[in-house]
Amino acid sequence: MSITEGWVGRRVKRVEDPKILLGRGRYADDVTPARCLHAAFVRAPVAHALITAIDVEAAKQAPGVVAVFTADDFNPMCRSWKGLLDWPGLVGGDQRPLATGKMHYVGEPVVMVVAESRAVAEDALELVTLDYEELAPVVDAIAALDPSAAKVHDELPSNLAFEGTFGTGDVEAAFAEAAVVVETGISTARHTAVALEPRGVVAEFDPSAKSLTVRLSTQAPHMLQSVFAELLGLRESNIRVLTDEVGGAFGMKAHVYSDEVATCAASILLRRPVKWIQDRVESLQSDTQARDERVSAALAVAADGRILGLRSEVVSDGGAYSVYPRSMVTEGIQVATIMPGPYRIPVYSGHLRVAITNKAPLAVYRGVGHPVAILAMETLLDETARRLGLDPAELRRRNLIAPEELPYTSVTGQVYDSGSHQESLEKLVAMLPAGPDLDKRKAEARERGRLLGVGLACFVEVTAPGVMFYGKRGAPITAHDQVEVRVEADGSVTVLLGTPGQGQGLQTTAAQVVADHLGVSFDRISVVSGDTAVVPHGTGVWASRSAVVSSGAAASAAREVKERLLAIAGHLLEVDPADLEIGDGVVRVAGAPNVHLGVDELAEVAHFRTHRLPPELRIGLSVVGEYSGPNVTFNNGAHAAVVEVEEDSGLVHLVDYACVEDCGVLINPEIVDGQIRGGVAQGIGGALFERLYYDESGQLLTSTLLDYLMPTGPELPDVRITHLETPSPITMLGVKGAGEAGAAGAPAAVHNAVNDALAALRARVWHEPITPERVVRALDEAAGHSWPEPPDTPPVPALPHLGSTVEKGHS
Amino acid sequence: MLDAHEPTQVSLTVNGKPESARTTPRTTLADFLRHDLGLTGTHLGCEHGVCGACTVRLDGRAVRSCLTLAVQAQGSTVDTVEGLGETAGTEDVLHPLQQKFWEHQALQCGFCTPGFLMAAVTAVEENPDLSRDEIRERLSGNLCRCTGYAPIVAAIAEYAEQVREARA
Repeated sequence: MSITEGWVGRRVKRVEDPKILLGRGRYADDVTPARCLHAAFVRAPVAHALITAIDVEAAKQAPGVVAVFTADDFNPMCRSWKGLLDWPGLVGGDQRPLATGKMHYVGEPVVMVVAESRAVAEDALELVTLDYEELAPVVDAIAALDPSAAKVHDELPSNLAFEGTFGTGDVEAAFAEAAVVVETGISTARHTAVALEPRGVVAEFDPSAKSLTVRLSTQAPHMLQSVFAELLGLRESNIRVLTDEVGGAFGMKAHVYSDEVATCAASILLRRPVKWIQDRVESLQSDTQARDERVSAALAVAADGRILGLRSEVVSDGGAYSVYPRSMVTEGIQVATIMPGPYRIPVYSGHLRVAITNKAPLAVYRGVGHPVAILAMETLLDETARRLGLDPAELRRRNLIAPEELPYTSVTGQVYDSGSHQESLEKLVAMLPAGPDLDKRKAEARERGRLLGVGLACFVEVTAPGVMFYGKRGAPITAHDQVEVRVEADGSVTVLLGTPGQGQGLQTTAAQVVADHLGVSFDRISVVSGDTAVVPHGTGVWASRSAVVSSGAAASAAREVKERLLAIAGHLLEVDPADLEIGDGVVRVAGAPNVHLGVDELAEVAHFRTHRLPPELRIGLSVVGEYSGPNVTFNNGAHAAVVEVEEDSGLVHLVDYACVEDCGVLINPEIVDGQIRGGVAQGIGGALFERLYYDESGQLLTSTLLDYLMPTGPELPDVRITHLETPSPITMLGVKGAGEAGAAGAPAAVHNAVNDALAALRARVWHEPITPERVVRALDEAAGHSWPEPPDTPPVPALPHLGSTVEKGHS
Repeated sequence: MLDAHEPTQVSLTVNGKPESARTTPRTTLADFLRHDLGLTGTHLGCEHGVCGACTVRLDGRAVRSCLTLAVQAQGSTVDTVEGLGETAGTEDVLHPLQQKFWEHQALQCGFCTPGFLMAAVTAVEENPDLSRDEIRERLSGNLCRCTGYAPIVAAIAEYAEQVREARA
């Protein structure tokens, strides 16, 4: 059976795009049912307060207002939730549609106004009187863990949500034996996804059928179908979740949100459609946040550069609630467990504490812990290289896992099934300036008042995790996808995807896979997704899984349909189906190319002329395939940034960015390139610009896009990408996930480049974002000019005592 | 002085066709286009004039329709993303810039795309000689979270080249 010309591997233009380009995409706010009402929320104006009284009477009387709801209205009909995976000791506070008794973070929904228009609803918010008594805000994650700290949730014993240790081996012995011990203390700022399409929901309850139709901007429709049923006491089969286009999500739209549940509850109580569309201030206040991690880490190294051991101390700022159902600990656990990365590290001890604070909940965002873990490891390696006088690439070369060591089980128990860890680095180094050329460029930059630096980062990334990740730990999250492949009577093909895209081009990749595995032309395939009443089950887009798992399900279904087509053709041509091959929509007898039947002819027979077929033949040309994917498959890559730092202003300019990516078999290299570039952009944003800034009272100061700085075009370099394709031996198509790799590697590459530049003047920076102020201060302090102001850096956790060989990498 | 809450008639030309609807003076042009005229191709990403997703052309200039009131467009010509392509029989034909966006995969989620298209068409019409760096600067008022901008810049640069050749 040969595929004459494969569609997998081609840079096919995306099928999703013409509609979007013409302005005909359908995002959550683009559909308004008849008699739709509109909602707006009074949100917590302070971080931590007791609600003493809520007066909604004036708002209720306002013309156009239909209802005003508080917690008392929704709590009897909607049970509370909290994301508790079965990690030992994990605790969290109960979350509800509206704040109940206390307000826990700025932006938490407290009162919901429903009116005939959004403008009327928003006007009426000002008529609600909210009385409260402020409590001590819990803002700093390390201070939150102090026994004397105020508690965010009174019913919990403390603000410690979770504590865990990771890794194995005799770390003390490794550090005692080390020729060099290098220590680093880093932090990454609190980020949020800033999907350009804000969250939004249109809920429509039909009381006669007790059915709820919810159109919303989400990356996990089937998960929400389960969760809405569970929370609102409805039958799951009566809940329909619709998503057409999703305007970006990045992990942030994989959760259950109070305001979205409240909108569903309001529709149930009012028996009318209710729409809520988030504005950007609400987005920055209440979307899940990420990356708020403080890490101290130390590396024990032999004189020849061999890594002997690693230890880390991580404090994760989980925010006010453990998001449902993924929990608040996934990021912190990944920081602690991914840190050994692609290196041969014999012993490791990581200690993680996740703190509950009065901030918006922390959850998964593209890269989930990887950017922080990789930053810690890669800054340690660069400091080590400086101490040993080794080239940073050479130090990595001596420690990267070699091909013959694969599959490799890391010191935290992660199994790297395959990869090109060494080769990625070599390919990357070949893309970069080196030797005299680099020296010349550094000298030229210096003449312009700039310090040029090159930074490397090598990494592995968890992709396509299976049921062990969430399902086994008790969450209502599946790990498998289903895809239906259907040949219509005219021979055209409909593909129904359980998992919808959120902009990655999943429909296109599914069509490419089906084209090859069914044996029809890509152009004959139409793909449908985003309606749980129509498509089979899919768990959604998360953890770089859909290219692996959804494509596997598509291939599985396509193969089964192909078998049925060949059986029908075999009967009609009176040949053994094993002697038939199919390609480009035509079934041929092997060795007799003139004997053939088109898929259109076969489909016509299978639909309308079934009298020509024996009764035992399967005539249904519609098959649902499923695939659960592997336990996990790791991609790998190596990134390099070249920066110029303005010595006077501290501004960092990215002058080049190169990366080598290995995500196994590429289905559509153009789509993978897009994922890498977009991820790198977000990673650069984190390294240099992005920071949700909470003041000491817990007030969010960065609540507009003027304050929360995302990279724009001029800040970003063109990213040069080299692909390696080491197929995964454990996934159906050899594919590994690719969606988060760019975001994973970029912060470390940029950070190391800046420190390489600053090292010329004996300065370093350790905290992201690397603001001009932090750079200038580091340069001044390295030159012996101290600043009177306290530094703009959060405290990092103390590492256990490491002995006398420690030379601290941070100031 | 208009009462902000008292509906008034707004008449304008949208994508070459006369349109008229009653709306309140406080209604933004974006909301008017989206909800009163049903032209939902114009997107709202921030509603405070930073992200550029809502960019439309008002009498040929690129404006943020979230910061423009519908009544300010009274009697004006407004062009939105829906008017860029052409309709030929049952087919929609992409505008050359839309075609370049498609070829370069200059969109992923597509939410920011209408704003980029309208801003870029205006920028290239004003100056088809823009270099790639100038395109980056000129479009720096439009945010994209998916692409990292490079494919957008490439698409616009090639479109500008087409415009230059057509003018030569």
